[in-house]
Amino acid sequence: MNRRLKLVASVMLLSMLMMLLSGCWDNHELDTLFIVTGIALDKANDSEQLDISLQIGKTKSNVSDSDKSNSQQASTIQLKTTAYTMMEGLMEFNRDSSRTLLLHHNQVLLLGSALAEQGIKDHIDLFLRDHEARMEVLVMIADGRADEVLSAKLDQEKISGVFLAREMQDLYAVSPYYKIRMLDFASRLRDGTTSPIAPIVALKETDKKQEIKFNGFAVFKDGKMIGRLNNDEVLGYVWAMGNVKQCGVVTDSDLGRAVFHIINLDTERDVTLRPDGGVRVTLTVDATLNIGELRGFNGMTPKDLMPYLVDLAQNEIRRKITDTFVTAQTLNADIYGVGTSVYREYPKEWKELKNRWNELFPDTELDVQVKVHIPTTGQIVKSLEMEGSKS
Amino acid sequence: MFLRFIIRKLRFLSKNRHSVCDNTTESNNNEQPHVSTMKKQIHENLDCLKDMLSGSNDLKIHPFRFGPDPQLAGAMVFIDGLVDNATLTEAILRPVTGWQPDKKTFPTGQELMDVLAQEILCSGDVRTASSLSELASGCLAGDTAVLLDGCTAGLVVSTKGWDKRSVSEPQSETVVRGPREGFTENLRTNTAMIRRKIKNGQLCVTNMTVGRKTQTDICLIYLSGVADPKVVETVKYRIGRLDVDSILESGYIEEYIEDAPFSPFATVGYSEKPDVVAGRLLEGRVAVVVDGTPFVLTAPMLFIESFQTTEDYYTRPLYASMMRIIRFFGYFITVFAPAIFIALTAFHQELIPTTLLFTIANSREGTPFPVFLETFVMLFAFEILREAGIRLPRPVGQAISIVGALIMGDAAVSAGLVGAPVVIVVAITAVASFLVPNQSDSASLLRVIMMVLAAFVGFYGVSMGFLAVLLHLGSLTSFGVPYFDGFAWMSNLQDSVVRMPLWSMIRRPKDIAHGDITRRRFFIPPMRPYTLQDEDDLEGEGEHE
Repeated sequence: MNRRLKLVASVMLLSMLMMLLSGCWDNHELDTLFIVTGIALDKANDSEQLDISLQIGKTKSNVSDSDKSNSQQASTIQLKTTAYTMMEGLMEFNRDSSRTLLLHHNQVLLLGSALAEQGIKDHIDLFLRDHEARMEVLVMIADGRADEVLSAKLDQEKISGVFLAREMQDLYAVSPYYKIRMLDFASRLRDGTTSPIAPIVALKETDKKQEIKFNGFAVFKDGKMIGRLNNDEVLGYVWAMGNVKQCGVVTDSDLGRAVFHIINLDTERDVTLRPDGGVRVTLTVDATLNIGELRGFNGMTPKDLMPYLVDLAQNEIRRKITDTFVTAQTLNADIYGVGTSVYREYPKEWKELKNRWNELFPDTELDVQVKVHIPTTGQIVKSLEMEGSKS
Repeated sequence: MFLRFIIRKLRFLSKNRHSVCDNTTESNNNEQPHVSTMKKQIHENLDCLKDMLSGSNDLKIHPFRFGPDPQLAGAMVFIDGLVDNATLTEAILRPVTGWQPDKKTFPTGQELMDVLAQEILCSGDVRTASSLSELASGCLAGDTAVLLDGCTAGLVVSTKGWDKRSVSEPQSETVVRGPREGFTENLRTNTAMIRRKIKNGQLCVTNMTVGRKTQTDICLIYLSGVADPKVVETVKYRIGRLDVDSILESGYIEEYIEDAPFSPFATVGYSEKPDVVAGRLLEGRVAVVVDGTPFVLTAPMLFIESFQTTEDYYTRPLYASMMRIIRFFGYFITVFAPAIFIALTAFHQELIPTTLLFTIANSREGTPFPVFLETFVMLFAFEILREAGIRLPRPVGQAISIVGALIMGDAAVSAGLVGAPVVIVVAITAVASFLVPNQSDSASLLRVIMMVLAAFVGFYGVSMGFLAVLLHLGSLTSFGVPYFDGFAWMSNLQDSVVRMPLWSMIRRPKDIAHGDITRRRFFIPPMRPYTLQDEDDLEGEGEHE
């Protein structure tokens, strides 16, 4: 009896202790938190150090309506410091601020282009290690200083971090390859042959207004930014990767200008080893387009026009994809992950090819086969000019 | 040190419990019902009877004389207010005083008593009582005792007739579709209402009397052949062994006979409507009707029963199923919504979408208390308002609801004491608690526990609490039937989260019904349009020829 009672009592006590042990662990009331919405890293004067800039979304009490000036105040707080490592910077911020920093909702990690060119491998360790900094954070490169982009006052969104995240979400609907998260970036960094890429954003100031522009992709190699793709080349890259929806194809010819709307574009990649030891990539692009807008094409009947338009679109898609591939080859950066495809097809040969990939990639042959279907012409068949020429 | 202290406490408790048990058994033995024998002289008997009823003034004794040239003395004893005066006159006074028997063949003594009981009195219920205490209890139950001079026995004539509430629509279980009658405070009216629903000889009604002082009549009703005899015996045994001084409401009985007295979940069901009780009887349950209350107990009770309403069976199955699913969600919300809100905002901000987080954070800005305290205070205030609303007279109730709505909803938010999302969460919690009225008591208890868990350890605590509740529910039984039996068998599942069409629910609930478990003929779906059927019939006939 005594022993049983002792057991019951100790179990009771232990379970009570268990409650207290974990009591209020990680408990943070919302009004004791700073919700970080963006982090910018820049090259500091001292090359060993980093300029860290944090953007915090300001919460406003909607109770004090009498204070009208509230609405004119900035909706973000900018914290800046210079430190050797990210963690040191965060420690300093936490020490000097009235609230705890919450990194969970960090939308974007902006890297200044100077820092990116210097190399970023040393600086993103915390973003991979810390559980609070999620792998879903978007990685972007700022043209110029990153903290300037982060502190931009925008008309579209109050918080520039949220603006960037929403813009990327919008582009994600076009193609998943636009959205570069920390996870994608880091896995490419680790991969060895595939080059990481990240979108470039630039701050543009006109008439006292600030805007953030999407400005192509930055291409990395060995953790250093070695070049960039402009907006046209980005299209070529995205089309080469496939799985594109609702994107425009702009074509120009002697007869007129035609803009197509991609309903669906899929790309199949086929890798073969050439007899001479090189690699040959065959991209089979299967695109369903819709005519978006036509200008010109006077005097053509719809029957003649359609094959012409298909041809036009096929050529344009092929041209863009090939152009981008050439750029990638001149940069010697395998942004497509061709190496990974080779590894999947020829796992045995890859062991040897891997070491020579820097020589092999510029030598890779590309074959693009484009099949375009234009099932509908939109709501009208002929454009007004075509009709006018007929009568 | 502390450990030893707890052990001492526990030992003390267990000892104490034993000693209490001993006391009660002793007191039981001491009390012996005293039987007083009757004398020949009528006035002695009357005096004794008066004495037994403490000389109360509402005890009326009406002496009369009857027989050939009225020579025999008799007396009617009854309690004013409990008897129907018209019945009294018609059934006893008029026939007895108007009786003109032959002088020679006039019976005496015991014989006279039998003649009176069998030939003269115009009443359907006349009993002979040989002891004064029997007569006294008859009087107390509303019957009239008839005493004759020179007889050592008396007659108890049923003349019950007190003022009672008529059958009306119950306040607690209102329906849109379905019968609107509800039980009353009168036991016989209630049993009759059940009888009217089930006109079958198998419906067995057993009377019991409980309560040393109140002598409350109780009726046990079940369908013999359908109800599990073991459950019937258990209910009978548990009620039979009661030695209490009063039963004022069926809640007393419920508390004495339930399986798990310390569980937040009720293991005995109740209802105020005859059609509900009839439905449960037909499923093989046992009903306990208690005199003096319109609430009839049913046992065994399953968890699923709280989510079933009569209207589920009166409306079409698709809609009924949807409503039932909504009720499950409502129960979940009313238990877990505040806890989840606390866990999300105080521990797991990463789970809230960024935009929503900013909205919540904006409203939390400048509020002085932690979110747990805020939610707790708001819920507490809601309980106060609800309680006030129930107890207050109706005209004042409106004022309370306006004050409550304005002060709680608006002023508290605009003063910055609580955030608007908390008010929304509390409001949805409060409204959802009315979806499952039978479980609202367990819900409000669990809600507080979950909130405390969430305030300490966030989602971890909530999920542990959920698991604990689930384990507890799984271990509960009601009169030997598992509480979760509604989810256990295929045949029971037909009437659990969804309500299948009536024609597909062939069997009565397993583990509750016993013996005659087939409810319907196998699969009688609704008829097809008759034109098609005619064609089929014609074809069939053609083949036959």
